[in-house]
Amino acid sequence: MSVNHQCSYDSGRRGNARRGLGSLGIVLGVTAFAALLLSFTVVAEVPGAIPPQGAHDGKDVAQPIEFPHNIHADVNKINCMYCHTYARRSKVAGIPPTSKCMGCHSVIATDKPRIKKLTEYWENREPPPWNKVHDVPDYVHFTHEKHLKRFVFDNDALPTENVSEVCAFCHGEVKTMTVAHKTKPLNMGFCKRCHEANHGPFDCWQCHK
Amino acid sequence: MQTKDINEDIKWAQINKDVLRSMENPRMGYWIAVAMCVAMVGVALTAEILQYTTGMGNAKNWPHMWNLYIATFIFWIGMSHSGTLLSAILHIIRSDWRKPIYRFAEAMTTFSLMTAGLFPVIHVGRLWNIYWTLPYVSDRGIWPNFRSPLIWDAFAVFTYLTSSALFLFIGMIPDLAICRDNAKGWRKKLYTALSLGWRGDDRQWRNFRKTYLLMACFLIPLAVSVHSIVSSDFAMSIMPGWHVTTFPPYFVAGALYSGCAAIITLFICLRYFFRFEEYMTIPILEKTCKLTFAIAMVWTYLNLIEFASVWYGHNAAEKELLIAKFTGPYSPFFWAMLFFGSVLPFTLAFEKLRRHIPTMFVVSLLLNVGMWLERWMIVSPTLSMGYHPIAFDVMWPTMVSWAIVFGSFGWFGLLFLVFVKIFPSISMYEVKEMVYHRRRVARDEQAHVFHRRTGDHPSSGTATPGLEGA
Amino acid sequence: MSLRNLLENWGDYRKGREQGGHHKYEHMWGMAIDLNLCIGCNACSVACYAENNLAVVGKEKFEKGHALHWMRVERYWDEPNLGEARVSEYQVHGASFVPTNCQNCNAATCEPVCPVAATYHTPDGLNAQVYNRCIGSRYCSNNCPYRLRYFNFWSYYESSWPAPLHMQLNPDLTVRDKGVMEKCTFCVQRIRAAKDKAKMENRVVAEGGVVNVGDQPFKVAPGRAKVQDMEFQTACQQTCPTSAISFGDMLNPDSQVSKLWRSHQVELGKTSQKKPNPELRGYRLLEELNTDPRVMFLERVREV
Repeated sequence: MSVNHQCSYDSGRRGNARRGLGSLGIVLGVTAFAALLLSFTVVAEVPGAIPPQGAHDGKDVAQPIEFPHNIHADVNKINCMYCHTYARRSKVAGIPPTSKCMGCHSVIATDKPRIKKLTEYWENREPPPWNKVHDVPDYVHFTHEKHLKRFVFDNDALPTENVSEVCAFCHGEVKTMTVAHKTKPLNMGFCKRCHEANHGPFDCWQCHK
Repeated sequence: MQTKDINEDIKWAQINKDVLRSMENPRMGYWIAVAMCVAMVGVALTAEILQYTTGMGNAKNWPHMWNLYIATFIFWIGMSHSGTLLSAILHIIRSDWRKPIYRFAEAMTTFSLMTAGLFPVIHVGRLWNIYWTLPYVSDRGIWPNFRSPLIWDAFAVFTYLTSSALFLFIGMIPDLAICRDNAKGWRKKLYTALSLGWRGDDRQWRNFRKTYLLMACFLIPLAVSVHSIVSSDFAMSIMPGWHVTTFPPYFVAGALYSGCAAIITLFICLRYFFRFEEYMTIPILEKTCKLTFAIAMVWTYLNLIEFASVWYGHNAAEKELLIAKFTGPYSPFFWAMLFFGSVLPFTLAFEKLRRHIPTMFVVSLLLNVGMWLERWMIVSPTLSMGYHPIAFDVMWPTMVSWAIVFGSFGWFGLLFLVFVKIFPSISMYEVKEMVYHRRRVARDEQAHVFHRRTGDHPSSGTATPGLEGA
Repeated sequence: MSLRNLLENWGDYRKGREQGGHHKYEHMWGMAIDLNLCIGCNACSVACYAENNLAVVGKEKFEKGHALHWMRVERYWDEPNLGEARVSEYQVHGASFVPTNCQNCNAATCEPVCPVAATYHTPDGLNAQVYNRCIGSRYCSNNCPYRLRYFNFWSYYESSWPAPLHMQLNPDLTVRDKGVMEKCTFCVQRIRAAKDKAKMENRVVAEGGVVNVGDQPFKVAPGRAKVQDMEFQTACQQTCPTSAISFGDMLNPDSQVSKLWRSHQVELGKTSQKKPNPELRGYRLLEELNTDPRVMFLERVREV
């Protein structure tokens, strides 16, 4: 299942059509068609939601500590909202304070080099200067809380443990990455296609400020 | 005194020679003119770069959101209409005196549209996004607002530009073939490509005539609608002085008027600099002047209608505005516009003045000054005096906008100067046709019948004018 | 929206009341300004500057008309025969103040003329201005009879908020760059926040239908947020020391603003209001132009 899953997210139709100017076009077109077929299997994962189409290959954003999302979210199955705790109640998902990291890492894996670096930040009483990966322009109003309400909390068929499936709509399969990497275009067409498919609001001023 | 439109004894080889001569060996005067135009464009470009990098405040202030740019936009659009008048309307009504002068008028149409098209781009606050006014399929699924007259403008100007450029080109094909046959070097290659394999056989002529007539029929309603649409930028709005029903005919009349005046100016320039006395004769100038005079009177009439309808309409805001136009801060310009637009054209009514070329040169320039003032007097007074008294304010354009307006004349001149050295500015084949018909008429001693409608001659079309002596 | 519908309901279409059209109202925000209470203190204007990231342009640019005061307190002086004789341009008595913000017309003249549809009518009845769509053709401002649209002639974000002043910028709306038209939004960021809050708390009106405001029927959308009256305030309303400004949902018959409109018998969709008795002080600016503004003014009463 996870293979299908990744395939469908990586190759949305329109995202490729835009980039595929060269000979890759045909290959991508076939992939896109396959992705279209596969997307029906994905729908089952988040009931009552059609995931947005579109792929993007964002540039790597260097982080002060190479945070392994895969170990936390995939291996240890920690819920996304455990750390990104503001997502359910505010516009931004937020980056957890260092104290939250230290809550576990004062005892877990303290000998690893990345944790040592984290401890160093903690002891110096300064936050690690994380860099933003997913961002929308200043004129876009996006609220995490309403999207989570629509797709997670109002969606009785989806257990809250599976929230990462919903997060993956716009953030890609972060649980397979170490540091986050932008795999979705997050442009207006991307938003619009999802709003169309899931009957979201369509007024300009809902999202533009 | 010369009374004939054209010398009927002229040899056809002579026509070719005279026209082709004008296209080669640019002299010092030409290069000086080019340098001046380039300098003017440079001034405008500097101003535009300044405006682009800093902001629109250089040019305009609240509540004068539109100012010189839009006025000059309408001016250039207006100037483009006379080319269509000469080449299409006079073609359809078979006035053959247009034949020696319509080519440059048509070039003027295309180039003034190319100048006009720049102004909306210069005018908008974020010109890097100007392509949003064009409907294109995008990821975002949003379209321009088709209710907006500015969108109609974009369509109208683009359509008119492509059609008039095509019309200019199609009408030039037989001439380009003549050029091809006489050219060497890069010119040969250029004309060979452009003349599209023209050999001048019967079938080609027949198709050519049909296409030309069809294009002419297509262009006339287009030209009328273009300026009507431009007028709806104002007429569709709610502001006093803009929301006027007579604006479409008023704009079209003004357009033809300024275009005709510009034709007189360019006529005199070409006649003088290229020694085209044989073709651009005084009687043809006279006919153009008469046409201009007639249009000037139409324009004056429509002006009076506007004043009368405002005056008797008793709309307080509009009446106040009209009074302010006559007596307010803009009144010198308004009176100047009325003088140049309505009084000065009476010089065209006198034969003696009409035949005096320096006078006509000055008058035609002043007529266009008047027509430019007209456009400005449409835009600015309304903005200075709308409905809400807090926003009553008079503003004067700054140097930046003046520089850009000034430079637009250089840009137009530059395009025109390039044109006259690359393309024949007199239609050789049509002049030959004209001469041919006139000869027949002279021979048949039927001048009194066919003087105006020589194109109607029953035996026309039996010969293939243009081949002989080419 | 079919062609037939368009032709049949042409008159209504301009006012966004067409049958079967896309306008199903969620709210219809309206305002009432009591000029009797207005003391001309300009606090509303200042509050607007703070709330809406309005640039302070400076004296010289203000003179050229580059100011961006969305809430503009217009000051008019009475004729000299009222009160004492005019001794200077600014006499002691006789000033009247009209705080004017965007009138959010129901049949707004700015909307049809925008070439890129950057200004349009939202289901909230607001006259929206989408800054990132605006190309700055300035047609809307020319066609606004109130001249209540302001243009960013320059870039102000460096000059107007030098560090650390940029920290005071409101994150809920963008800072406009040069070449963009802007205007009063009825504090849409607060409206948005209130609606979001209502929806998060599941305060939703499930059914749609038709709501009458006066004798004007407005179709309403199902599933709209149920925002209480005075649940939020606009910045100007919040700041006004004399509470001259009322703001609320006109589709809610119990809102303060609806009550004011009703009590002064000012009705939407009219080009003039009947005034059977002088107690009725309501009027709308330039309503004879059929712009159908949603800001009502209550005339100032004073002894001569």
